[in-house]
Order: sequence, then structure tokens, then C-alpha cells
Amino acid sequence: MAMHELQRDYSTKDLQFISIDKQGTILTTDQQLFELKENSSIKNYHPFFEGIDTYFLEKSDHIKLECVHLNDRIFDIDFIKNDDDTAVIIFREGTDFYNRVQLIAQKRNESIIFQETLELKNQILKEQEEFKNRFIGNFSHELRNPLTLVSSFSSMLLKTELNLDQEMLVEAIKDQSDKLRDILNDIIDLSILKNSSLSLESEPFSLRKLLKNVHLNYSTTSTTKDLSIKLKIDETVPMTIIGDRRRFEQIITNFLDNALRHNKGDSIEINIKENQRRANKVSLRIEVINNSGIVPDSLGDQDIETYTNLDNGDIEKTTGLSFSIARELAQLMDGEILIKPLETGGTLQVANLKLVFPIHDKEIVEETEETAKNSKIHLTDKVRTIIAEDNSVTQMTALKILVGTGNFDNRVFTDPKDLLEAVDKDDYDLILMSSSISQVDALELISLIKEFANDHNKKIPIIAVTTKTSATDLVEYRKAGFKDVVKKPYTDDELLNTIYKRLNLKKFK
Amino acid sequence: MISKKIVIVGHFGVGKTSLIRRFVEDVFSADYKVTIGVHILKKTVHVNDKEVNLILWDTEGTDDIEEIRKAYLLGTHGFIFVCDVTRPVTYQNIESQTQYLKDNFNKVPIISIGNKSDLLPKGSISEKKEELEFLDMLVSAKEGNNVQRLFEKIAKLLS
Ligand SMILES: Nc1nc2c(ncn2[C@@H]2O[C@H](COP(=O)(O)OP(=O)(O)O)[C@@H](O)[C@H]2O)c(=O)[nH]1
Ligand SMILES: [Mg+2]
Repeated sequence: MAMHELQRDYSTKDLQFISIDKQGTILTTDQQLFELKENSSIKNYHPFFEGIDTYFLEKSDHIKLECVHLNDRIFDIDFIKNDDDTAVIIFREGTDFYNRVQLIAQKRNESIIFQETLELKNQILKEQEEFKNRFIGNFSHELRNPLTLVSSFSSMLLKTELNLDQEMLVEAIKDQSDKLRDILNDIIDLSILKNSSLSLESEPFSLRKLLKNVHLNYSTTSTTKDLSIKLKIDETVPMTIIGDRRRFEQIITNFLDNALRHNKGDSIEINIKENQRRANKVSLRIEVINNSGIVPDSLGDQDIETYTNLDNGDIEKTTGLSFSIARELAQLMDGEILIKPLETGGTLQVANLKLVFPIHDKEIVEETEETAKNSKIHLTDKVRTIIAEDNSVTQMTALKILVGTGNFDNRVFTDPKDLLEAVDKDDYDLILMSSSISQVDALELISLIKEFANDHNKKIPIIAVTTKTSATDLVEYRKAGFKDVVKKPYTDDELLNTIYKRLNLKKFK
Repeated sequence: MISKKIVIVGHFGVGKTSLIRRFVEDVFSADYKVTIGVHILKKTVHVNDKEVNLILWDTEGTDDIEEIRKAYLLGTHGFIFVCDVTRPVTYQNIESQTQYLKDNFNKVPIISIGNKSDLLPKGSISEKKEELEFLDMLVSAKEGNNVQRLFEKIAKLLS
């Protein structure tokens, strides 16, 4: 076959030419693609043609319609208007081509919709997670007041004359409520960490002193009296670290708590090594090894689930909580946490943490807090104290603790108006203020006091007693003029320590 | 008998094809077959004792209305803008999309609808309605709710 014939053949094989008049009557047509009768109306063949009239009205003489489905076939259609009110319609069959296009579009659209659905689900999960954390946070805060009372009253009770039976009972109460307090703090920490609203402090602290303190604390508690806890710090490890001392300590104590909980042997080792350092950054390896007893690993995110499920609220199930906290904290410190069973039947817990140290590294001298023996303090003049608190449980807790020392003369205020009146009329020596009183925020209230109090009262220490104790909260409280912050739940000694520290005790002796 | 060309537009996967199939053939399939190009179907409705031929143009879904092939829109008497109430991306830009149609197709009525109302949790429909107040109607191709009413409504608008 000659070349031009081939071309003709090819180019017309899938084309059909139809000419119509303005009413849609078929004037001439070939039958390449489908059969059409001349002199019949094209509108009868398919709804597509029913609107064909309007193409005669369009400005353009040439209208192209691509990918039009007519029955089970797909066509590109050209509508070409002539001067004599007739038109030529050219059909090009594209069924095979467009079916391939359809397959591609099918894949693409399905995957886009799938992706969208995933994102949506993810978002719902995230919202649920946030709700859960908020819920845990709120509910833990609610628990603090009653717990403060139980914990501090049992501590006070222990300081009185009790017979042996009573003492044992009260000790058990105190022991368990302290435990509960720790768990509560863990939960709050974790919900803060999961909300990632926690930022780390950056202060220099002595690494060795911190480790020795932790070691001492753990070596001298009753639960560890048959246990040898060894602390080994590599020589090369920096003296001073710049970072968040409390959070750093928390990782180690969480490890130790974990180790103690599952320990079956007679020794626990704490090893601090240096992985590497560059400039002023150091990667430290913190190991806690118990030579016998498996600490459950694979503590995924289900920990908090088991925890919030109060139906099986078995305290021993909380193992994972401290580990979860340690893991979150380590992540905040650009580090990681590993937990490995040892061949000896024990467990190795490791934290690799990236930390900063000062270029001129030397031991820093830290202020050692001189905690006065609270029970030995007797003041001749009573400290005239305002307790601004509208929660009756907390009122009673604070009152009992203060009254028990014999050093305080207390007045309780639950209404901000009365409080403002009082600080104007009478002289006081101390104000303890909860985070809000009858809906008025402590920050607002203190600014009112600074404004409306008499000159004497403007100078007395005001201490916040609050559940809001994040670093940013503390800064705000200080800025607003609070001398100190006592964190709820507190023990009697914690409350008294802070008060005595902030009072000029000589004045009352 | 009068014929009216209705073009169904909106994102892909919102149920344009399903709506038309429910209306024309009274069937529904949960399988998704992506539409490319355009399908044209027809159904007659009765409005005020008159018969109206609705010529329904089922278009390929596009993210952006401007991507639709212009020739498909020639001679249109009415638009139905469909979105999927479970997929915010399909109604986020509804305003600019319908505005584009208004600008380019002077006086051609547009009905905006939310499809897949069956997927809204029971009891949340009135709540969701407030959130989706920019829609004229909630329909379900799957369960058939409001589908007939939708096409009768647009037929009425046009006759
Ligand atoms: N549950 C539910 N699914 C629907 C509804 N309408 C359509 N679908 C589903 O949504 C997918 C996309 O529908 P389709 O009509 O092809 O959407 P189009 O791309 O806009 O034409 C298909 O899997 C349909 O089964 C509806 O009213 N309810
Ligand atoms: Mg479709």
C-alpha cells in the first residue's frame, strides 16, 4: 500500500464526519464509527446531542469537546460551524486511550482520598489524645487537695504521741499517700510532656553532687537496706552540666524506681560514662543495672492507657509510667532510652543524653539549703497570717499545719473583697494565696493587694500555694511579686520550710 | 418539551456520579469508579404540571473548578456544586469556586449541596448543618435522602 493511502487509512479509521443543519437533522454522514441515518435528527441518538443547538449560537466557530462518553465508548468531538447554518461534527474514537487514562486517574484519586482519610483520622486521634491529656491533667489537679490533706495530716499525726499500733497504721497511710502523691506528679508530668508544653531549664549544676545525692537518698531508704547500690562516675565526665537539673534527676530516679520495683538480686549499679564530646556538647550514657530481675520492656504508649483505666487501678501496674516519663524527657534532651534484659537475668536501662557543659569546666559551689528543723522553731510573737483559699479541704490542711506549730495567728479569706478590706485595715506578716479565690486569679489578686494594701502590708511576703508549677508559671508568679511558690500537694514540712525561709524569723523571737 | 442542561461539578470522589445514578436509575454502588471526561444522562421531571428534560452532565472531579474543560460548560442552564460533608478539602474553597462560576456564567443558578449525609453521626446533623450553612442542602446518594428533591428544586429554578 502506498504511503499516502496508509496515512489516509490511518487518519480516517477512527474518525466519523457528520454534517447537520441548525435543527440537528443529519445531512450527510459516513458510518466509520457508528451507524447514523441521513435525514434523521441527531438528537435522538444520545442526550449529548440535545443541546447541540446552542453550539450554533457560540461566538467560536470551532468547539472541541474531549473525552465525551457516549454509551460505552469515548470520543473527542469537534463541532465546526459553517457560514450556511450547517455544521460538521467530527468524532474521533478514543476509547482505548481514555481507558488507560482512566486507570491512572483511578489510582491517583484513590490514593489521594486514602491519604486524606488517613490525615483526618490522625487528626481525630490527636484531638482525642489531647482531650485525654487535658482530662488527666484536670483530674489530677482535683486530686491534689484531698491528697495534700491526707499526706500532711498523717505526717503531723506521726509527730504526736501514738501507741505502737496507731503509729504503724498512720505510717502505712502516710507511706501510701506519699506514693499516691508521686504517682500523681508523674501523671501530671506525663500529661504535660505529651502536650509538649514543657520547656527545659538551662542552669548550671554539679553533676557529681547531684548523682551523689540521688545515690545517698536511695541507699538510705528502708526498702533498700538489704541492697547495695553502687555509683560509678567516669573521670572524664564533665563536672558541671548546663541543663534542667530536676528533669535530669528525674530520668535517673525513674530508672532507679523501675529497677527497685523489679529487682530480685542484691545490688543495683549506676554508671555514668561519656560517649563523646564536641565543643561544649557532651553525650552522656547513664546506666542503671539490676543484677537480677527483669524490668518489663516494650513499654509502649499503652502504659498511660492501663493507667487511666481506673477499673483495674492496681498501683503495681504503673511501672511503665515512670519509664514513659523518662523516655519523653530523654527525647526532650535530644536523647534516647533503651531497656535490655541481661544474660545474667538482670536488666540494663540506658539513657543517652546530649547535654551542654561550660567550656571552663570546674566544680561549681551550689547553695546547700539550710533546712531548719521546723519542729524546733518556737516564736514568741505570732505570725499574723492570711490564708486566701476558697477550697475548704485546703483551708483546713493549711490551718492545721500552721496552728500545730503554735507560731501562727491565722485568718482565712474566701472572698477577695473581704481580703482587700483586711489588708487595708489591719497589719499582717504573711499571706498564703491559692491560685484563684472565688474566680479571681492570684496574679490579679496580688496586683490588687499591692495597690490597695496599707503600707505595712505592701511589704510582707506573699506566697503562692498552687498546682501551677511549670517553669513559665513560676516566672510569672515571681514577676507578679510572689516571694515563693509552694507546690500542691505539699507536706507539712514543705509548707513550713518555705514559710520560714521567707519570713524574717528574728522579728518574731 | 423543554430541555435544561445541568452540569454537576465538585471535587472527585464526592459522589457526583452516584447522585446522578441514584436519581436516574435509582441505584447505588459503594465501589468508586473514577470519572474522566464527561458522561451525559437524561431524566424527565414534572414541575408544575409541565415536563422538563434534565440533561445531566457528570464531569470529572477537579480540585479547582477552573481546571474543568471550558467546552463542557457551554450552554449550561444550572450548576450543582457537590461536596462531601466528611472531607473538608471538598468544601474549603467553595466560596471562591462558586464565585468563579457566577463571574463566568452570569445568572446561571448554582445549588451547593453536601453529599454523604448518611455518614454523619446520627444526632449531629443539625449541628453539622450549622457548620455547613453555606450549603443549600444535605443529600445522600447512598440512602437517597433529598436526591429527588434536589433535582426537582433545580428544575423549578429553571422553568
Ligand atoms: N456513604 C456514602 N458514600 C457515597 C455517597 N455517594 C457516593 N459515595 C461513595 O463515594 C465514592 C465516590 O463516589 P462517586 O459518585 O464516584 O464520586 P464522584 O467522583 O464525585 O463522581 C464511591 O465509593 C461512592 O460509593 C453517599 O451518599 N454516601
Ligand atoms: Mg464521578
